[in-house]
Amino acid sequence: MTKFRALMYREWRVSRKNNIIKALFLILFTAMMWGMMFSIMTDPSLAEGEKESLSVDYFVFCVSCFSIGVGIPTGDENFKSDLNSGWLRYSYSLPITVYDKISARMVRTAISTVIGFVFSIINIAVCCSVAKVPFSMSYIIIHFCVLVFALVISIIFDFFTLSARSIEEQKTKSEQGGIITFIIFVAAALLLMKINKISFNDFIAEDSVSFSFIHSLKADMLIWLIPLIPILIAVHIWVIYCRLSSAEGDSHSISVSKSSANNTKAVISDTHDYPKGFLYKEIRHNRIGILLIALAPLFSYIFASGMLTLVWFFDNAEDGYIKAITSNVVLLASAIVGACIASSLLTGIFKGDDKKLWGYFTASTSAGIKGFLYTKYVLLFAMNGIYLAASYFMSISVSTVRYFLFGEENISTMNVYTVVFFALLFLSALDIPFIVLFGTKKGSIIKISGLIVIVILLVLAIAYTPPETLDSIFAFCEKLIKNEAEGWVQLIPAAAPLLSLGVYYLSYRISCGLFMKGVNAYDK
Amino acid sequence: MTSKKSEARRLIIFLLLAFAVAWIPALVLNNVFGYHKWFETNKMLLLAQPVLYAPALANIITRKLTHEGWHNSMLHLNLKGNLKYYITALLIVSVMSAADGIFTTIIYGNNDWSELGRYFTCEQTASMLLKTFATVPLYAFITFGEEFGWRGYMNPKMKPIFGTVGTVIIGGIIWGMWYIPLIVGGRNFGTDYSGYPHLGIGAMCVICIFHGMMLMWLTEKTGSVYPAAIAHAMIDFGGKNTNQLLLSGVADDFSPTVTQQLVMMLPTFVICLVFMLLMLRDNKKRKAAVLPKTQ
Repeated sequence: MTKFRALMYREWRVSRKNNIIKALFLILFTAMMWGMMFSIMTDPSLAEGEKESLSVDYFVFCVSCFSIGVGIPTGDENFKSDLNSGWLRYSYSLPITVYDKISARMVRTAISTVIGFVFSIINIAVCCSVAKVPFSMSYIIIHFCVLVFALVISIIFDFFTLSARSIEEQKTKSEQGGIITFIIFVAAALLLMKINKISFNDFIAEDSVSFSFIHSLKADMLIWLIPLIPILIAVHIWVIYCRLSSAEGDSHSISVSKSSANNTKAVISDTHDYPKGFLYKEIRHNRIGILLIALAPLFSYIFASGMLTLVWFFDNAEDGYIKAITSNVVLLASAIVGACIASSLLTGIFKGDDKKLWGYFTASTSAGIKGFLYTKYVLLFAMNGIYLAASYFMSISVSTVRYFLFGEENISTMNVYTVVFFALLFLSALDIPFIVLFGTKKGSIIKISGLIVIVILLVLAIAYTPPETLDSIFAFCEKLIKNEAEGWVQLIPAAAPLLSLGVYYLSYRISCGLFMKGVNAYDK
Repeated sequence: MTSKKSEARRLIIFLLLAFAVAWIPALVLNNVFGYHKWFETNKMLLLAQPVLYAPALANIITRKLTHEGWHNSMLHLNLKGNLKYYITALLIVSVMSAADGIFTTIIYGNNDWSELGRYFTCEQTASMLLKTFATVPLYAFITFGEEFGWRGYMNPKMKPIFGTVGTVIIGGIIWGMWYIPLIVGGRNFGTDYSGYPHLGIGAMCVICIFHGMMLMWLTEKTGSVYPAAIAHAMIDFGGKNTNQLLLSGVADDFSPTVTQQLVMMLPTFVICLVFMLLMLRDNKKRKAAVLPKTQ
């Protein structure tokens, strides 16, 4: 019992920061959902009965998914800390068994899941009483469905990640696990929809998304849901046991660490022909990132057309599939997806440089802090340019294929890519000072937290703005986008690119000022 | 130090490749689809890319074949101390076009300034200029395909053989001749003019000689091909629209002949000659710095 208490205390202590952040996110998210609910309730365009049911269904779906999702630690942040600190390997020399470790982890997960469950049910109950809608059994059943789903994702993810025995391996396996989990999730969701004869159109009621499918969840589903949960928990325990039973993980970890050692040797010995300077260090260090950003438009196009393919297949749609995937709509959708991928790749060039030793060394060189940050900003600009060029080639390739197959010409999407270029530049300019000051990880958390607060305030502001005012704002924005604005207002979209460039330069100056403060505050 | 012979050999290989990689697809596509369809619309732009990137590909292949290496590739940005040249690259084409617009109004508009600002308000003008300067340089990745070949390889190879003036003139003629399949297809001048296509080809060579002066000066000053790529993008993708802002008194149906177009570009040619003179002055200074001082 003492051992178990000690392990529980360790689990709680290691994960306390994450738990606090998750709790904050849960509260903020729930607050946002309350705001959205009230805004739907006060929407004059909806009929009285429709308002309440729409808002409650929406509230139930979102809050239940988030509460349970936050409760179950998919990916297990503690495992990463244990790898980083070396506790994982050390623990194999302690008088604790793998089952002891698993029990502590499962109890911690159970406690946070129960807290999430109860929090969600209480909020839904209050929501029902405010909206004067009866509390339905289906609101509890959706929680069990989400719980089953989260357990399945956890099992798949832990199957990949828990065999890692180094941080680099854990990162690689996390990415692999994430991709496979996503593919399985999409395939399973579509299969379930196919079996239950649910179409994508069922989710759309007139001009809004409908969650009324919640009411199709009947109490008899509990007959198989409730037994399924302990089965999944047992499978999960078995997966964790298999993955953590050995100090060396599976055989891959040994070969990975050997091959990385070989790579290190090659880099150390192979320097006499390489150019010098920070720019070449950055190019060498980030060559994979540069390659990935050049391929990002291709990946995003494959993703967007893949999603369309799945919808086409499961909806038994008519002909015109190739025409659809070569259309401007898919190109625009892939531009948005690609921008998200590019954004994370761009700020990824700062990873690995947020170390005290490197910071002090940089400051001592002849180029100094300014030279170092200058190369970072130039590389980021160049990567942005590479992304723009790759997007252009992707677009003209698809357009050429479309013309040869159907004789139809696509409108050029270069304007969209130009907007994405400046938007990415602007976002990077906002991002980098946080990374320089707080490091990659902390900086991202602080930035995301700030963004979430801004988004919540914006959503609430939009929710409570009168519809007439909203309509006039949207009409104004539409005029700006279509170049139909008059007077000096038309200078706003024209000046935006120059503003991005100005903010980018300002970001460079701010980062130079913050660099040493950040270095002194880094953990190591 | 490489000999003139080996440089000449590399230059010939480069030119053969630049012309072959560009002309073969261009001639085939002109015959099969017609110039306008494959080059000026969004229908099959992918097929136009080998033509646009032919000089850059020729540069890369020539370096590989002749084991030249990349030490003089001019792929560095060299931004430090050269920002003024990058800004010049951004603005100079619009300045030249504005001068062309003024000159056209004087010569073909009977010096009638009453219609100035008739088509564009102040805000529209400012909006157009801001968008041009902010977004057109992004198209430099397209014109990089030419500049990496002509300014990045051909000019440095020609200069030791022909000198600066020879490089500008011969290089300009070669560059103009490289456009033959496109001129024959109707680029810049159309197909409906007397003297087609020889007058058009000759005019293109003249334009390339003068533009080459400006682009070569930018490349020599910065040691980088990027300013030339930016200036070339400004020429091709809208930097020349400033002349529209200063046109006045010209009839709406005025359709200049090839010769008239060259006359309208006289201010551009004069400004390019200034760059030529600056290059010659820099050459003199460099020679004077190298020669030992005698008492």
